[in-house]
Amino acid sequence: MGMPAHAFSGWVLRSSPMRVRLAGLAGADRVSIATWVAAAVAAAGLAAVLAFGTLWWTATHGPDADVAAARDGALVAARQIAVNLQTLDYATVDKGLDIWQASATGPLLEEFTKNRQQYADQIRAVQTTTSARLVDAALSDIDTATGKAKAIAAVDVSTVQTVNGVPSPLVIKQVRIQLDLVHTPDAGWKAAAAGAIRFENP
Amino acid sequence: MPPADQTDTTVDSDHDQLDAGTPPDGETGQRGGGARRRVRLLATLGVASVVLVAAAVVLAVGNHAARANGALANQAFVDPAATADVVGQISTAIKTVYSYDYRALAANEAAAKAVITGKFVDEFAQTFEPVKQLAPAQQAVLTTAVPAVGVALLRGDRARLLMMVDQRGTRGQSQQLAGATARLVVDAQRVDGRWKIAEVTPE
Repeated sequence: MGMPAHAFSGWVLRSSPMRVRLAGLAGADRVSIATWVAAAVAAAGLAAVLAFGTLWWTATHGPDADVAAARDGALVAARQIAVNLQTLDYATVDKGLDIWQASATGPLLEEFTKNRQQYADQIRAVQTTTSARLVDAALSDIDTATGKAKAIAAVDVSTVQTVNGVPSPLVIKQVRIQLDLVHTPDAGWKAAAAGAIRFENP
Repeated sequence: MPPADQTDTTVDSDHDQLDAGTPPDGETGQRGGGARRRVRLLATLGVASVVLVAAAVVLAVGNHAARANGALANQAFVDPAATADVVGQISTAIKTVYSYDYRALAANEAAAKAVITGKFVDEFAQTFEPVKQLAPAQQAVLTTAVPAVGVALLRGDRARLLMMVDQRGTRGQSQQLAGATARLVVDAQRVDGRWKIAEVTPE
């Protein structure tokens, strides 16, 4: 009580060893606390790097990512194959049937290869041109272990028949297609079976 | 690095520096080296923590981007159980919504309302109103089958399916038949763990 402020500070200043010790303690604490904090932050950072690194790696390279990539690849192929197999122009039959065969594998390819001449003769005889517009497609199943998938597609098929050199009016048919896909090692997804989804009596 | 010991070292070295004019002997030099080592350690840890935290942020952002926008954002077939759930529940829901019997219209309507949500609630009400008025007089029965389903998207509580749908209707005592096929895109939403029809778009 009543002691002037300078009296207290003067006492501290005069007690030189005490002042040094206090100042030293404060400096040492700052460095060591900062060191501990830096070490803790570094450790937390390392743990976060490992955790997020693992998560990111599995998101891009893990088994789930493989399934997702296969699914997207199979769908891209299915969309193209659905259109390919509904397209055939009597004027360019050989080119069209080449595309059919390039879209197929297994039993479907055998069928196309075996009946190629018959298809060509038929389409030239009736002089039809069909072209397809893909409306939508989606996979209904995929098994990446066996490299097999099933897809369904909604395709609008336009047909023009040329009669005595005059093209008939365009007929558009709404088609529902089912594809069995197989992943071939050298050429990606191809159709092993293809057909219309028939009316199911409810 | 035990801080308790280091505190003493700093105190001593500060003390040495305050003793002006005293040339640093071997001992104080060693102690000054200890302080420098401690500062170097702090600097190294500081740099390491900055680098590691920055790397963690980059990886976290990359991971989030890969999962939110990459192929994995769509869990269709990646999560086979969830995919089977939405296919099964929405197939049943479509059959329920597009089937009725003039003898059980109230039950049909209640069953349908239990499997629809959002925008489709109003749409269903609009299509079912004329059914309630006309079906009894026509003795109309409509049944629906779903011969094929594809899953385009499964993301959280949202899904999009491509469904091939067949309908068969009968009218009157003569059982006059009418059939129809359809290609529907169905947007589904999971409400309280159950998948419901949120929107139907014929294609």
